[in-house]
Amino acid sequence: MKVFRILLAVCMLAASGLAAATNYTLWINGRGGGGTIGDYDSFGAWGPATTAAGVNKKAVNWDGRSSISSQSGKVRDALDCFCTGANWCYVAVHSAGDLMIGYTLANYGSSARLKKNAAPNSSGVCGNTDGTSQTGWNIKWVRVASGAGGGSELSDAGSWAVSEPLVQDLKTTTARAMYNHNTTHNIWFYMYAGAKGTLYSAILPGQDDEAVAYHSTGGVSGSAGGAYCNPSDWFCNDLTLGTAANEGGNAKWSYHSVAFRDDNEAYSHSGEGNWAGIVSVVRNAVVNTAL
Amino acid sequence: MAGDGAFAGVLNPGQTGLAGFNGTIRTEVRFTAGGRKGFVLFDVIYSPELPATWTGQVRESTENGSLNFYLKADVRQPGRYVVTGRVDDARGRPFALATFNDMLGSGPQEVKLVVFGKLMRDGEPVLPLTLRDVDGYLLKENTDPDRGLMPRLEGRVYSSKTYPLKNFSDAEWESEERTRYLTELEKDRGMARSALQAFDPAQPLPASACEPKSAAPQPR
Repeated sequence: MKVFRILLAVCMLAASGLAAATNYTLWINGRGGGGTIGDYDSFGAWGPATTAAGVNKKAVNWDGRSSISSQSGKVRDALDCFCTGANWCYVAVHSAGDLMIGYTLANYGSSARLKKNAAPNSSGVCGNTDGTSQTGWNIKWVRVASGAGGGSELSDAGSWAVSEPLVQDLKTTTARAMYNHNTTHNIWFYMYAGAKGTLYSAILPGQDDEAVAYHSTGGVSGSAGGAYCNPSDWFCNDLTLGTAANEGGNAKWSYHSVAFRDDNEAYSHSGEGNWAGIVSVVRNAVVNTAL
Repeated sequence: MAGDGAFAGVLNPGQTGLAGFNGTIRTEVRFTAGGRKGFVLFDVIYSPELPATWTGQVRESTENGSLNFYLKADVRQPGRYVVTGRVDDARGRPFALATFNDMLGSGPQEVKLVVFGKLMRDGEPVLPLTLRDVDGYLLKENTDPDRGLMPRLEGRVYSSKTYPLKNFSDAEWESEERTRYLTELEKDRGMARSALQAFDPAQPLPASACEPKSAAPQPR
């Protein structure tokens, strides 16, 4: 009888666990990688895993050098794991992680997803719950640190290793033609654009963070990049805050809003393995809002 | 150069050594203008395979208050197909981008491109609508190149009949996904209001922009 009661209690706990709604914060890395693929507690791409980074934080690792399309499955595995059924996700991305989540949502955001149990195996794949599926994932928002969804002229100009497949994807025209950037499935992308950069200012148009220019980090639409700056620069069109069209009339992609523009030119592209640079601005916002 | 000041060139991969190539072909043009050197890049995605072809047959239908275009295709490779078509109104004004993203089996299939009813009612296009420039590809998972291209349908593809706009529904989009998101938003909103009230019980809660004015909380 005692065994039966314990079993009953365990079953009830399991059932309540399945039904309980949990929020997760997913961090999707950019170029370079650094974490262990499939290990959602491996924050090597970001900084110390002990640092606060949103509720139930998970590191969604991909290798950071292969093409976006070949690695998108790693991201879909994570979204299936933590962002289906009763569970919801906040998503934070850095650099090419913007291209990754944008590609994944545009191409697979309307697909049927089996509901998963948020208990990953060593490959990062979770088990099914009840065998039912849902359309797309449960995502509250995406916060983007220096997003490379619009590509980088450093890739165009051959400043990065041309043998790296990701570098080919990061060419401005390629990145912008890769998928429909307006198709986020109504999930908001909050853009954080850094501007501490002078090293490549001859190659990157307008303001940049030494890796990506404002046309990309600000989510400016179009088949190629352009020059966008801070309001203090009189000789260059302003990147506007929010969703408004930029000075000069170019619109942002749908469901893209500039949440932070680096008017003081204080934040660089790299997180320096310590949640630094523009990543620090996003992390701060995530800590305050991913609850 | 055609005498209009513009330089032009044609790339036809199928008639070159790139005929069997699958991926992005880049044409790089280096130039000098006004004493300054520059370069410009032209990328095209090319695939020698044909995962599906268009039959050329298109039909239209008004269903559930929306206007649907059905394009017939002969599918050789089953899988997820992504198709887009641009829709102009009778004045040539770009009006909509109709999209399809779903699984297709082998054999004769129809690709449905929807112009949603409420968009017709809100946008008030001058009918008939013209469907043009249809692009489609088979999306391949976890590989690069990730797509096998269908032949592009360039220019006008089909023109609709003329309908009174009132024939279309002005109802908002409804789906399980939309309801799921609105339910979660309502839950978050309730938690935020509770937290705000707990933070300073003496302060009245701000009126909600989402509720009728009569339902808004009154100052205490």
